[in-house]
Amino acid sequence: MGFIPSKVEGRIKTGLAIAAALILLLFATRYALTHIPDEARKLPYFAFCSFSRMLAAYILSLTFALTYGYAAATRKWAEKVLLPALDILQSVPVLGFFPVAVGFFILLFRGERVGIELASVFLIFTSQAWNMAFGVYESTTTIPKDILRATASYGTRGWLKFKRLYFPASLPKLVYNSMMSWAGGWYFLMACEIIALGARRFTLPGLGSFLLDSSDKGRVDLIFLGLAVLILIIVALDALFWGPLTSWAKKFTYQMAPAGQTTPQSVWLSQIKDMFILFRFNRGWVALLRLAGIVNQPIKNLIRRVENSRAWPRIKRALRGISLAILAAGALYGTYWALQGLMRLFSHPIPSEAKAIPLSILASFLRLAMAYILCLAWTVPTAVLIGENERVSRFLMPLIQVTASIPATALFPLIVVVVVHHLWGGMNLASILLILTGMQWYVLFNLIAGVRAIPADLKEAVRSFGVSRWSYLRRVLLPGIFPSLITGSITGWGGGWNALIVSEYLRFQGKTRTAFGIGMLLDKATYETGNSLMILLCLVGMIMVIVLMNQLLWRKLYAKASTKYIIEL
Amino acid sequence: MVLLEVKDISRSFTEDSKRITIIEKVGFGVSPEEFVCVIGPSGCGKSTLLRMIAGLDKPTTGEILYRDDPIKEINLHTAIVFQSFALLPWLTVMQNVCLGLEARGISPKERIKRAEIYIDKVGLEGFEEAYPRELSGGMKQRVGLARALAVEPELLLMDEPFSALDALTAENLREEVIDLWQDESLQLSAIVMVTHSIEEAVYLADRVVVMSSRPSKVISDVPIELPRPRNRRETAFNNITDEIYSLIV
Ligand SMILES: Nc1ncnc2c1ncn2[C@@H]1O[C@H](COP(=O)(O)OP(=O)(O)O)[C@@H](O)[C@H]1O
Ligand SMILES: [Mg+2]
Repeated sequence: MGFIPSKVEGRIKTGLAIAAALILLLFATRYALTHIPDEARKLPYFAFCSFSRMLAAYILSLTFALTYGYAAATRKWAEKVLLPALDILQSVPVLGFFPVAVGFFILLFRGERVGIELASVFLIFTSQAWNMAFGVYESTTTIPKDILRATASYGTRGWLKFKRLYFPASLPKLVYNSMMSWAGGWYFLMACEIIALGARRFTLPGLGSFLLDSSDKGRVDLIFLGLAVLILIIVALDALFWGPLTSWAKKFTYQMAPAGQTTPQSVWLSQIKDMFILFRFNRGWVALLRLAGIVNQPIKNLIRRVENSRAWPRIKRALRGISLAILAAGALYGTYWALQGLMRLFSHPIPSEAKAIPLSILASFLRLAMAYILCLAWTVPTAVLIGENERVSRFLMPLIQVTASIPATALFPLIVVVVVHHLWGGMNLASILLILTGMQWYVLFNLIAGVRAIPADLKEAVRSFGVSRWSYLRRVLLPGIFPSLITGSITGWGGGWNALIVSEYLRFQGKTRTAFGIGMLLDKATYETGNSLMILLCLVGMIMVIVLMNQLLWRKLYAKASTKYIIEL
Repeated sequence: MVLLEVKDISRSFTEDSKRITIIEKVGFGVSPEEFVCVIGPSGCGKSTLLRMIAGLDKPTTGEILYRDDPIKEINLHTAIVFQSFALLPWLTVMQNVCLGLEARGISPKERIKRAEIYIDKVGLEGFEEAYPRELSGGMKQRVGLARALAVEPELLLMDEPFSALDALTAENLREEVIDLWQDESLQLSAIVMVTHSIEEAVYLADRVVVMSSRPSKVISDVPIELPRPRNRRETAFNNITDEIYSLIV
């Protein structure tokens, strides 16, 4: 625990590191100003565009997650409808929403920039929202019974109950899932800034489109520059926002709950954060909240006055009626629009490529399985090493965190150059490696949390019997991390299916490279033929396989893991 | 005059499509200024009974009258203290105590003034801004107690409030609960407390309601007429303890 001298020493070290980084940055800027290629001069603008899109999509996702997750958790009928719907939505890859994005937003605004921006934000939203909604649902349903009873017994209802109970209880998972969602958003940014349906192609200025464009031209130098900017943004966000937010969110955990899903903190990052206290971030946030409070108070008073007035019951009924009417109208219009679209789709003949769908799913599945094996082969030993050995952890964790935060889609062109051009294995291997990038971090972080969650008492008790290293692994460690392995695998496979879509069809130096699979079929239908019926068929085939796998394999394993292998605290 | 009247209530649950009756035809009354302990084997439905008195749950048949009115929704004349404390970990002591007052629409200033009184009453002055995680078990239960008292209930419901505490802390808190109950300046009139310790029941209560195992009924309703403060070493005390013990075994 914080001996002052070592803390000071740490501060000095970090200070020096930051100073060095600043000097480096200075030189880099000077170099950049004179040497940067013309194409890259707009990078700050692109970065700004992409970031704004991400932010807009995130705010949307947050609103969605809170309302959807809350509704699913607190209403019996909603749970029966909303949860399975979420399950399906989650397994639809981002590309699957292209026809909706194009058909709805872009056509609605007749191809104007607003429509394209909205479509892009909507697509990023589809890569962010679902896991956050699940997070809210999970935390709301796992509030300890007595706490629920206590709040209810004091007559706490409505907004107060949400503010004091449901929202704070959701915070830890919400923050964790928000970080995951931002990572997911960056990962799919490349797919969300160039929206194409067949011959129609809409490109928005942004980092994603810049990277894609550069790889199309085969400009490795531009790819590197774009990547550098992207990584800079991600690391800065982490240090300034997610870091402080994560440690703040720890306040909102129940004492007895195991640490579980928190991403382990690194010494390196926490020291940088320490330095940033100089800038009084917390105070900034507090001031902002105060400001919100000032605005909040008159609104609250107004609400109270309205609520206490005699007309309130009538107003309430009217409000409920109006919102129900709006909802119903929206749902009706949506259904009409979807039905009309579907009818138009099925008036076309079924495309001949559709026959290849079953075989392509098999091919893709095999690639996923290969990637999963590779993933387990490196993540299990690494997680054990990191979870068991403090020194290894201190050295490896920062490295892993930074690597994990780089959206691998941005690296695809580089991987393709290396693997396809200079190594054995061709597109097949490249595709498997790319799927691995979409899968491995979920598994790794869950496993590390799992190893760390095994109580020290248990480890010591077993060691005190003098058991060998091997039987320790077999009897304690592996069974102990089994539940985390399953959770990690479920999310990992989800990530894998999504990565699959962007990994079987790649453009580099003006040429398209493919590996036969469902992702390739889907991409071809989206980018080349623009055949919406084919897109729909591919999606349905894929979703069926995913849902089947979830039901038949993962749910069963999860149930087993949570009964047999859970360590009671 | 009775404050609370439990009239022949039953409660069944459906579990794995089987109908299980937990409580069957339980009835007893609680008078103003009375301290009643309910004891019974674990799982016999004591917590369920308290929840029904608080209006958090409803009997399958029968009814519970509070001041002659059937309880239809949350019973705002009562407040519960839980074995697990049930404090919100993200709220400070002050905010936790204010929770019930906030729900009743009391103004922020008034809330803090009232909470302060009860925080002092349970001996937690100076800890207003602490979070539950920073407190010991005994202090957490004091917060639970202050939170319940702050809404100025007539009837205090306690569900094994001392079971999670060490023996010494529990002993201190028992004394304080007795003091609070006898405190004339409080609105608090009666207490219904669930426990599984016969000795604790005999030490605290004016009456002990003894329940059987599932489906549980009231086996016996034993008045304890020992003068206070009571002494556990007296023969009269031990005789009553033994009498209740023989009822259960
Ligand atoms: N909402 C519920 N649904 C199903 N069963 C319940 C519910 N609440 C309580 N029970 C059952 O009622 C039994 C009695 O519970 P409880 O009142 O907690 O007993 P006690 O407090 O006496 O130990 C328990 O075995 C539990 O299974
Ligand atoms: Mg109980």
